[in-house]
Amino acid sequence: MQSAKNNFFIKEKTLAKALSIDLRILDDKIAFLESSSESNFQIKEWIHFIYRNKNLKIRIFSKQGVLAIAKYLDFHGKTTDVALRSVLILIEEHRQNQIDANIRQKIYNHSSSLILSKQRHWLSYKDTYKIFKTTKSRLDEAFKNIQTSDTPMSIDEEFQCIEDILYFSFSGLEKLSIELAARLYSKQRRDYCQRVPIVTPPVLEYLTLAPSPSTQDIDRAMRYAKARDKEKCQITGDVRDKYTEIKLVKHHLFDKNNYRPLAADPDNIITISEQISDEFHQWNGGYDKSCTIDDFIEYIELFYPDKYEVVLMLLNRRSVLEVKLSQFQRHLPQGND
Amino acid sequence: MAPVVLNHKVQDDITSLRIKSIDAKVLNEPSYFVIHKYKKNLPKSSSPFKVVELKKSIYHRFQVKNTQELKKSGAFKMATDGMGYLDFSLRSTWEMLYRKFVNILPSEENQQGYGCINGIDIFLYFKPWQIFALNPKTATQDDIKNAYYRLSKIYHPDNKVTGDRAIFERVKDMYNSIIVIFT
Repeated sequence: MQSAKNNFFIKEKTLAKALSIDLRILDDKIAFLESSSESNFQIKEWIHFIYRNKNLKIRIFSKQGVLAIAKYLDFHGKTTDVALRSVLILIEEHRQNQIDANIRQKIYNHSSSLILSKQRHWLSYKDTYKIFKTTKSRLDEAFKNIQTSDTPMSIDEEFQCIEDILYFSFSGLEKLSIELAARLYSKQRRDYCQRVPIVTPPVLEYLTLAPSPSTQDIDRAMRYAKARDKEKCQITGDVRDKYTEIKLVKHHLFDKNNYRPLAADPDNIITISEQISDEFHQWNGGYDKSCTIDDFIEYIELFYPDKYEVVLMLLNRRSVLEVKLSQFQRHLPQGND
Repeated sequence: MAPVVLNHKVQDDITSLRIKSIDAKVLNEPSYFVIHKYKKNLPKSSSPFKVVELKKSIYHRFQVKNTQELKKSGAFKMATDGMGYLDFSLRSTWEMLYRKFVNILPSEENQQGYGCINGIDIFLYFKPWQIFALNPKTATQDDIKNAYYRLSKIYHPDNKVTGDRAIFERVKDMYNSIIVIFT
């Protein structure tokens, strides 16, 4: 039902304004079309519109609904070309907003490699293909096409290798977006790639400069989490005493460097033994590497398969943290055309 | 006589004659004279673009209508990340943007002089395939290596006669940028 709800996005006031007609007249037309016997022009709830407020009869229309009303008005000569164009613009704007929101989310989820080097911003090869929603081989092909063009990317300006990993600068990403937007088969994918350089800069700028919790806030949250977990390893149940002498650490499920908004959130912190922490980070590729709760769940499932109650607790924690992350993402800035 | 920069071909010839114990100074002067006279008789090169034409091309490249929109454009911000402050009141800024994002300026086609290889000023343009005189669609890894070695022999700083560190570094960057497709 959620996905069906997402199909309805145009408020009736906005539609009336675009069609240059009074809201009451629009209401009359809809009432007529609802009861119409002409199947060509008949409109129905849940196909053409839904009620945002059923008592007040406030509707939101789908693309189909908007086009049906516009088609009816046009057929009976009750609208102008300008009004019809405005309706099409409304639909196009919504489509673009959806693409942009999708890109913002991708950038947010795949910008952990963002670094500033040689006065430029750089993103890793992996983050790049994830952001463009493409595959390694398609990104390789795009890169090769650019390098064999009249305007190839310049080393250290548009791409560089850092510790054997290919990184692209923003100008490199812009070239990739042009290449992909020109050559991909699917129009939807081409449109997506074309919007990437438009949406990306303000989002990454925001992520780079986003206010983050202070060290004191993070320390406070870690102390709170340790007390909440009763100073016990949440995986093995071990406590520090004179017999075990294990060391407990506070582990950030979404690492604190790349997920700053969650750094001082006790829900994002779990008390575990130092040995598990070391083993997990080694397994994940080192302490420098970004980690998420999914990595931790995968690690527990792999090495502590009998700790299913821990996995269930982590899955529950993940849903809470994802809501918090998505709330933060909603505040990400719009792209500039 | 206006100062003229002798291109590498002329410099190489002078050097080879110098080896044959002819003083370079004696050879430089007639070279300058010949080039000056030749240039005077050349038809006027294509007139430089007006700033408005340069702007129009940049606007078209970034799909904007004016400079205000250009400054706000996300694509432009990305493409110019790391280029520092851009003063849009200067013609040189628009020329630089044109060179980087549009094409070779008509007045800078088939350039000769210091830093020019195959008619391209390598300090103004990043055109490796033209510099190496290769077809990007057919060139093999060996073709690129051979072209690079050929230019390296001329511009490597160890070459006491024609070596030039700045040119060599730029050629090396171009080589490293295109050879990457074979790695």
